[in-house]
This record gives sequence, structure tokens and C-alpha cells, in this order.
Amino acid sequence: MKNEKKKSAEIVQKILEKEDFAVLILAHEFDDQTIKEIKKRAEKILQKEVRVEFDKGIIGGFIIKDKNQIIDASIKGALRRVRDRYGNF
Amino acid sequence: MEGVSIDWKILVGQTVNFLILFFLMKKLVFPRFFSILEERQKTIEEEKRTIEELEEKKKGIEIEKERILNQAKEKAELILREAKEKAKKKERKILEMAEKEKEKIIEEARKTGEEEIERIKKEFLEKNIETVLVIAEKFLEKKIDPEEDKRIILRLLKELEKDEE
Amino acid sequence: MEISKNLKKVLDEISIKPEKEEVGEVLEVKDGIVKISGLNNVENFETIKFERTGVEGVVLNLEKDKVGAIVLGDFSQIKSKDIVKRGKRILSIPVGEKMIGRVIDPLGNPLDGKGKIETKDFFPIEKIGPSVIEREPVNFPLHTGIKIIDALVPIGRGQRELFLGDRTTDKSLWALTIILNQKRERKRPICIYVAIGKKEAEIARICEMLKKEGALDYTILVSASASMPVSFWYLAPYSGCAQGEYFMEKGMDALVIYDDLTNHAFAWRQIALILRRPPGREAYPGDIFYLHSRLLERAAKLNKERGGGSLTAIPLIETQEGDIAAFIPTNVISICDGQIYFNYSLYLKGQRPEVDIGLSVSRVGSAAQTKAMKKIASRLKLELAQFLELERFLEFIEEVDPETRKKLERGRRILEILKQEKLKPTSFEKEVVSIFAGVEGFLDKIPLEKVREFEEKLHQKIEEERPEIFKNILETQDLDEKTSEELKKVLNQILKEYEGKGS
Repeated sequence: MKNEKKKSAEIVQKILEKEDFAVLILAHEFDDQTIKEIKKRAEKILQKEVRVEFDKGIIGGFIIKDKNQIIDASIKGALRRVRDRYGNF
Repeated sequence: MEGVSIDWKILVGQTVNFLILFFLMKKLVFPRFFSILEERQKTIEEEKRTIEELEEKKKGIEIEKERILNQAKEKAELILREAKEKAKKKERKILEMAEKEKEKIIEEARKTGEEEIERIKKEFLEKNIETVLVIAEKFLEKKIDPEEDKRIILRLLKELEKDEE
Repeated sequence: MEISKNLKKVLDEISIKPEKEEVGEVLEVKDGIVKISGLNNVENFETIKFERTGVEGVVLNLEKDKVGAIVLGDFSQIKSKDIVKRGKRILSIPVGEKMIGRVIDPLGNPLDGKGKIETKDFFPIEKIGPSVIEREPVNFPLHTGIKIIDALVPIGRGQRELFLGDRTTDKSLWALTIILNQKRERKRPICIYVAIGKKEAEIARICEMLKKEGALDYTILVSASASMPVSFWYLAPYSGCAQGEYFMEKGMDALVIYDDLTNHAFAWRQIALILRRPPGREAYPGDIFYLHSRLLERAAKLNKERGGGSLTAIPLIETQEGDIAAFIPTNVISICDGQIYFNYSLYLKGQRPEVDIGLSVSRVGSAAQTKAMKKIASRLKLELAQFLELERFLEFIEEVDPETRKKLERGRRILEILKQEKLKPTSFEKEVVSIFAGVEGFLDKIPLEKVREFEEKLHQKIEEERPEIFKNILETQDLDEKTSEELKKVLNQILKEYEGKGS
């Protein structure tokens, strides 16, 4: 009974939170199998639906854009962080 | 000498006339005449004295004038000397200030020079860092193929999973 | 070698790992105020960055599901749904000796075209003032160069003295006169002039004037001109205060002039209304008092353990038609350690500076005066008090007895000798001799219209013939018997000249 209540509350929460999904940005357009695997692992970490987008500009790695946070694990991001550390160019 | 003769009557008569005239002159004319002469003499003496006095006074005024002029000259020289001293003091002060200003400018220029060198060094380093990062970016774009990228992504996801736990 | 070492270091630092950043999304932008959703862990007064435009902002409002912030720059390019990141630092500005002689904006960016300012130190814009234990009583004078103020309403280093008056009075110029006078001070304070909401042309004129008088060498000009966003008007006084705090904490003295806090209050009202804070009296938010109290509490005289430095604050407030009992003026009067009221009706009567002695006060008082000034100021207060009292009675009586007439004439001459031109400060030793001449009755026989001429002659004569009088007063900060006697001799000499001319 308790579990059922918890589940319905979760569903209601999801309905109330419109468009509650995260965006995963990748540099390369992998095959479907690979994308599926990556998406699954990301959804496990974020506990929400993940939609995949592609942007060659990030060079490699990934960026996850969630409602209240951005997880930047891209090569572009790593270079930007070094640039920022040594001042603005 | 024939024909020259003295008429004693006329002579006596002339002499009596002369004496009467002399007597009358002495009584009436001579005193006035001599008094006038005396007065004139007195006047002349007085005027002479006055002239002498004026001459004396003039001399005194000249001396006084000379003295005043000398005094004025001395005062003027004193004022001029004081003004010159003041001007010299001011000049010295201005020179001192100018010297201080000059030193200040030199010091500032030296500081600016040093700062400029530091700035150029920093700019050069920054530009070099930028160049290195651009090169790194271009290199990685070429090197990271889909296989390599997949390996990186899976490693990073594993790290994230660990963090969430 | 050094360069290649550094470059190698840079390459070593490139590492790909997940970096989490808290972000928000812009909901609306209104006149430089932004509402943002997200940023759940952001702190009050923390900086934020708008990712797309690179412009920074400061968080002011923390609500349940959104955050209100002011934009520190051009807000015209910010759009709805723009990503906003946390800066993870409280807003700080660059401070230091390199700021002296420069014109900067409230964020410390140069505005005078003389290039970037390289500083190492950063001070937070918002800071709690020194505690009671860290302070000591104000005991050192800040010579303003304005005779009437130094004599009757003296200001000490570490004090907060308010200048208030109508827009038509010259309170700004008198405040600038104080900066000019610091040029001759031995222990010269660093001056900071904060211009809030002034026209750019006016700020340029002020800058030029300070430069011409050689005052820019020890002054920092913080400019939040009328054309800048209201967020800059709001930050400017705190920025100026932070500049001054840097010097105070180094054991030096600093003077900060806020011109003026009325505009500062207007700016905060505008921001608060847009942020939907509940409006109170005259539509100001409830914390309008706190806006100024937390600023002015940062001015202090630190004790020796903390370095002995000081920060003197001179806030300016504009009154409307002489109403000093209005909301903002009464707030700031209650915060400060005294006020100087510039009365426009006195200005029209020819009294310059137009200081209303009856409504002006310094709560520090003679503790901030030198011995010389204390000696003559007590006599001066008495003479002026009697004069003002008698002048009031003149309205009701036709004839006065000789004694009363004498007091009236002396009072008029004292007021005359206290007059001076704006932007022309009087040095301390000259102030002392001028006021001495007034209270000792040397001006009684001088025609009223010749009093200022007499004063000039007096100063000139002492400078040329008896400079040791000025030197003595300056070095000892006192007016001893011997110097008084010498001064009286000089005064008598000048009086004889005037009497000679008269006969």
C-alpha cells in the first residue's frame, strides 16, 4: 500500500513538472546501440528521461543539461576551464 | 694878464650868497638829503643782509635736499636689495620644487617602464597560452575519432556513477 | 625558459572530467533587473554570469522558486531562457594604490581612458563595519579649509558628517573644497569622491578641476553617472567605501564623499519595486534605513591594534525646499555623527558658505579640534550666539545702546570674516589668525565692506614680514602667549594704516 502511494506520488510529480527531461549532447553520431547504452547509463545517473543531441563543437566527451545544473564533461569544456584559469583573452 | 680883474663886491656878494645858500641847504636840504642817503644805505644794507640770509637758507635747503635724496636713494636701494633677496629665495624655492618634480617624474617613468615590461611579459605569455590551447583544440579535433570518444564517454559516465553513489 | 615552463604547465592542466555547475534560466528582464529560475543554492549578493552575453550580475532576492538579480552591465542583450551560472563568489572589486588618480566605475573598471588598472587586492563591496572593540574615539581633526566649519562644526577623522541642503545650494562644491584642502595636510588622507546619478559633463568638470588643482594625485573618482544602469547607482557608494576601507586597514586615513545619497535611495527604491518588495513610506522598501546605515557604519577610527587608520564619510543629501524633517534626511541625520545644513536663504543674503549655524552640529565637537582652534572657537561661539540673539531683537526695537551696537557690529564683522569663496580652501594657520582678529575685536573699527580686504592684508603681512607666526601655529597646532602677542602687534600695525587712511 505504501509503495503504491509512493509510486503514484512520483507519477503526479512527473505530470506536474512539465518537460522534465535532461539533454545529453554528444560530439559524434554513434550507432544506435552505442547511443542506447550511453542514454541508459545517463538516465540511471539522473533518474529522469534523457534526450540526445549532437554538437561537433564539443570535440569529445559529453555535456548534460538538466533543469538546475549542467554537467560538462566535454573536451571543449576542459580547454575553456584552462583558458579561464589564466585570465580572459 | 691885461683885462682880468676881480670885482670884490661881486665876490663878497657871491660869497655871502654861497654862505646863505650853504646855510639854508644845511638847515633844510642837507639833513633830508643825508637822511635819505642814510635810509638808502640802511635799505641797501638790509637788502644785502636779506640776500645773505636767503643765500644761507638756500644753501641749507640744498643741503637738506641732498640729504633727503640720499636717504631716498638708500631706502630705494634697501627695497631693491630686499626684493632681490626675496626673488632669489623664491627662485631657489621654485628650483627646489622643480628638482623634486623632476625626480618624481623620473621615478614615475622608471616605475611605468618596469610595469610596462611586466605587462608585455604577461601579454606575451597569455598569447602563447592561447596559441597552445588553439593548437591543442585542433589536434584533439583530429585525434578524437568516434571510437576514442566512446571510450572517453563511458569512462566519464562510470566516474559520474561513482560520484552519485 | 620561463615561458616554455609555463606552457608545459598549461598543457598538463588539460584534463577531461565531469564538472557540475549549478545553472538557472532567465524568466524576465526589466530595466536591468532579472528574474531567474533555478540556482537553488545561490547565496545573497553572490555574483552570477549570463552565459551567452558574458555579462555579470549580483543576486539580491532569494525567493522560493526564483532569484532576483541586478545586471552589472548592458542588459539589452539578455533574453528569456538564457542560461545563468553561479559565480561562487561575493561581489568584490579591485582596490589598491593604483586606483589613486583614476576615474572608475563601481566595479573598478577604468573610465578615464588611461588603460587597465593592475591590482592584486580585491575587497568585497558589502562588508560589516568594524566592531566596537576595534574602534577608538575620534580624536584627530580633518581640516576642511572652510573657516566656519573648522571653527563651529569641526569634523574629525573617522566621523560621519552629513551635508544637507536644497539642490540650489553649493554643498557639492563645498565638499570638493574639503578634498582640495587636503593637499597641504601633512598626514594627507586619500580622498574618494563617489558621484551618483550626476551628468557625465559634470563629472568631467569635477575631474578636470581636481586635476588642475593637483588634487587628483590623492583622489579616486568613482562614477555612476546618470547614463549608467540603476544597479551601478546602487553599488557606487559601497564601491567607494570599499576603496576607502583598503587604505583604512593599511593604517592610513581616507575620506569618502557620497554625492549624493538621495539618488542612491531613488535607485534602491526602483530596484526594490521591480523586485516586487513591499513598498513602505514614500514607496521606499522597508530596509531603506539599513541601506544607508550599513554603508555609513563602515566609516570608523580604528584603534592602534587594528592599525590606527580611519575612514571619514561625508554623505550629501538633497532636501526639498529646506525640509530637513523629510523621510530620507531624518534617516541619515540619525545615522550620522552630525550634520551641516546649507540654507539657501542665507545664500541669497550673501553668506557663503551658507551654513546655518543654528541647525548644524558636530557630535564629535572640540575633540576633533586643535588647541589653537579650541581657544578661539569657544570665544567665537559666544560672540556669534550673542550676536544672533541680538539681531533677532532688532526687529522689535528701534534704538540700541552703545554696548549692544558694539556687539552687533562685532558679530557682523565676525560673520564677514568667516565668509570665503568655494573651491578656495583656507589653510589652518590662516583660519586661526583670521578668527583671532575677529574675536579679539580688531575688526571693530574696520568698515564692514573692508573686512575681507583686511584679512588678505593680514595674511600677506604675516607671510612677508612675520612668517614665524604661521610656522609656529602650524607646528605646535597651538596659539601660545608669545605668538598671540606677536599677532596682536601685526594687527595693530595694519589697523594704524587703516586709521591713517580714514583720517
